[in-house]
Amino acid sequence: MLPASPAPAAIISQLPLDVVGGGERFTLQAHRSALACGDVVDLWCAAAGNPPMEPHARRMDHAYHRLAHGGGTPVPIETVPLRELLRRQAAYETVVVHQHLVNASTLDMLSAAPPTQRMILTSLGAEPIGELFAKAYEPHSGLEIVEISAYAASRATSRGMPATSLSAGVWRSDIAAPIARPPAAPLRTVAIGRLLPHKAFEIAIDAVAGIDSAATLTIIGPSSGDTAYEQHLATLAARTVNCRVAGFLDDAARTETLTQADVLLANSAHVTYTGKRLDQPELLGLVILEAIANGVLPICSDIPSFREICEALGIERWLYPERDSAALRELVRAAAELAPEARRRIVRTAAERLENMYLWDDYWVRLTRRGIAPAHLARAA
Amino acid sequence: MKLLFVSNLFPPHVVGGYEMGCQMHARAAARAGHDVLVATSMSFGSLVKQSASPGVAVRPIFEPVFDYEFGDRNYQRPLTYAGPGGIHPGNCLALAELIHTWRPDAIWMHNPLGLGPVGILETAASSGVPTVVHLMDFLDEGIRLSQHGFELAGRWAAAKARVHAIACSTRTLEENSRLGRYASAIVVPGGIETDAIPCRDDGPRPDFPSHGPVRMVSFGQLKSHKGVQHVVAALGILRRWMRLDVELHLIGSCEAEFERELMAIATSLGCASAIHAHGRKGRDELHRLLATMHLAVLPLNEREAFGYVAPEAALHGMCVAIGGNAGCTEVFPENYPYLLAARDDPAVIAATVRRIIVNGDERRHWERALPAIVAERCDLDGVVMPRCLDFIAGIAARARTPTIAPEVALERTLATWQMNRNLSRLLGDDGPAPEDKQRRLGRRLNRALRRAVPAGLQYRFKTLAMRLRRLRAA
Repeated sequence: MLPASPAPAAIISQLPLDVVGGGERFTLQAHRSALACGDVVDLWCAAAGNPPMEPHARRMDHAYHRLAHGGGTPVPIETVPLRELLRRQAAYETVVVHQHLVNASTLDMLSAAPPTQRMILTSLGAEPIGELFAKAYEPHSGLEIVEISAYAASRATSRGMPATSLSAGVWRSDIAAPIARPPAAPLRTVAIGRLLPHKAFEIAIDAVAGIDSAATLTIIGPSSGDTAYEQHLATLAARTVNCRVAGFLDDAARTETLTQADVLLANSAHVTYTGKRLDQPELLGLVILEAIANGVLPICSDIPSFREICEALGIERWLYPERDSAALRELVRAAAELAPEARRRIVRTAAERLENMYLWDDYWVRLTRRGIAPAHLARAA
Repeated sequence: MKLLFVSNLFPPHVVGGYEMGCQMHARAAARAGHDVLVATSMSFGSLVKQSASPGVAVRPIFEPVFDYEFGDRNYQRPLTYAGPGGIHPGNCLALAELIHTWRPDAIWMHNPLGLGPVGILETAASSGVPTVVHLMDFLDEGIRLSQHGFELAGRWAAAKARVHAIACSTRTLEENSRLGRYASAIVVPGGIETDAIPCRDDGPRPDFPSHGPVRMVSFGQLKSHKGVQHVVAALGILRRWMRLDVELHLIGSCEAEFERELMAIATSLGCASAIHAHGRKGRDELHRLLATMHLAVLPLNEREAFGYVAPEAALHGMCVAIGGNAGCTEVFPENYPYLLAARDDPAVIAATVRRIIVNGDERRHWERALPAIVAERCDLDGVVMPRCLDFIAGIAARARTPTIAPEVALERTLATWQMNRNLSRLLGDDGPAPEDKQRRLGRRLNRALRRAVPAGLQYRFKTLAMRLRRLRAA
């Protein structure tokens, strides 16, 4: 039996939400945004990392959690197989699928959508079924792909899946006026992210190590399980006097460290330290938005998604060519030489723009209240 | 009103009561002065042929996607495996086009299984035309069991919530609420054209003979799920142990294999000579035969949404021993004594038949009472159709403009079907596993033979074969 009165909308994450990376954080914030906007929205996620392309019968047995989530850590309150989730899914007015390129069951969800239902897909980076999805996808008026950046949308569109974009990264209440810090030497830099090769933390170490006493670097981020890379970073940092890998910090400690810093270094690159090439290292750059919100100047590698944010916030001068540690070193030096007030002014201006474009507070409204295409409205009339 | 009927099959091609019920409703609606058009499928396989429907326009616009001859085993064509429980795009388009051009005031849907029922119901629900599903089978169960390579039960439920239902029994409505409820629903028992029954008003039939056999009849589809084998076994008990002179008349279509099974049972119980197989009869001939019978035994099972045969027998003024959980029992009074507590127990059937034969006063009471009781609830033109048409007129008056344009809804239905097909193809997961070659070859040969030999001739052969076997056994 279907539940008597399901919530009018649901967010379904195709990845578990028990580990918090950028994508998972985006999903939880999107759900929190819905709550803040006053909507009742069920939050579902895959109970485990399911194999991406299993036969139909096995896909139907994949387990999904319904989560209780009041803004903190989500807690599973119910577990059902995909077959049951698909039955219930049809009763929602709107269904938002996050990480839709993670599992072929996204296409089951699209197939299980009644014609009256609105489906919104957001990929968030992980794309094991990207190619399969592009082949199987059939656009229609009840289905939208809304990516988290114009760059991500352009990637989807180039694969034959027309997409729009809608970004968010910070809450209004999290935006702090830049604090007047006493001039300090050395310059405190911080790099944040899961310890993954495409984050290119080694470029930051190389750049800051070359400055020596003019700056320090703290690398914060949970382990990714890539021990070779983590050891590589540890070795590089051990050779320096001004760089250290702090590893995982909880949210409060992470934010505290960020607010104590002068500059954030965001170094993601298409090529890793082993020479492996990635199609896309980042789809958005939440950490840049968080830095601005905390009054910290970001210096970013010039990858498309970072450029998009930096241009939108008016800080494109602080972009450097990806994997170019010499160029990064120059920008760090330039930041160190900036008067504190000048740095604060840059960040304050960026924060004003941030408030107009990247707030979670109205993200859900912006996402779901967007009108249906005028052509369809006309035909309905 | 302009009433568009939708049914997978429609006479002359029938499987059972659902198609005949649809035909009766369509004819009665036409008699009541409504403009009637029936959208159905082309025939597929050598189905039983019934008389056509004068006065009713029929358009076979749907692709026949489900071969009833071979039931669930028929998933031959990759485009149509979704027929029993999914979406068939061509049928959605055909229905949408017909609605657009004919502009009905209401859609009166009967059996959509086999047409890609989810797509058909969504197309009707999105058309803006008030839609009623006439429930004479357990559609939800059919849908649930047919989710192979897709999972559309939720969509079925969502579409149901936008349409209305007329159920032939309370239990049928309950069974059809398992995957979600209809927007509104009423229970109206299956309608019977009572005028076609010759002896309805003739009062109780003559008393049972003091000498000579009691003529017991079982009619309709003679299949194992109808419990005919239990009736044959009960005949053996009646004759051998209860020492009652009873003969069993079987009227209806019967598969050869099942016929052999029946005769094997009868031979083992020494009652083969008391069985008279009449084969399938037309309606008039059936009624003439029924008028000569003394009692009916119809151990219908709980899967029987209604079961026209029992009220038809009752209208003939016969006492009927009925399976106690069939939908049609709802038209019989609560104190009706001949409901079978265990329809698959020959001893229970035999005891009930003995009670009918031996207890003359009780039998005569019910022989007199039943025709009026059943007619009061099942008379098609006098009771059933007015109730159905009132309900349909009521929902038509409350109809609202759909929130999305029908063509937009159709576009979405077709796109989702396409995505499912693409996924199945890309993952090599194309519906249920195909049967082994040998079985497929056997089915093809069987079908070829059935197509080559006219159905009437087949039944003559079958009847002849049955008689020969009976002679041999004797």
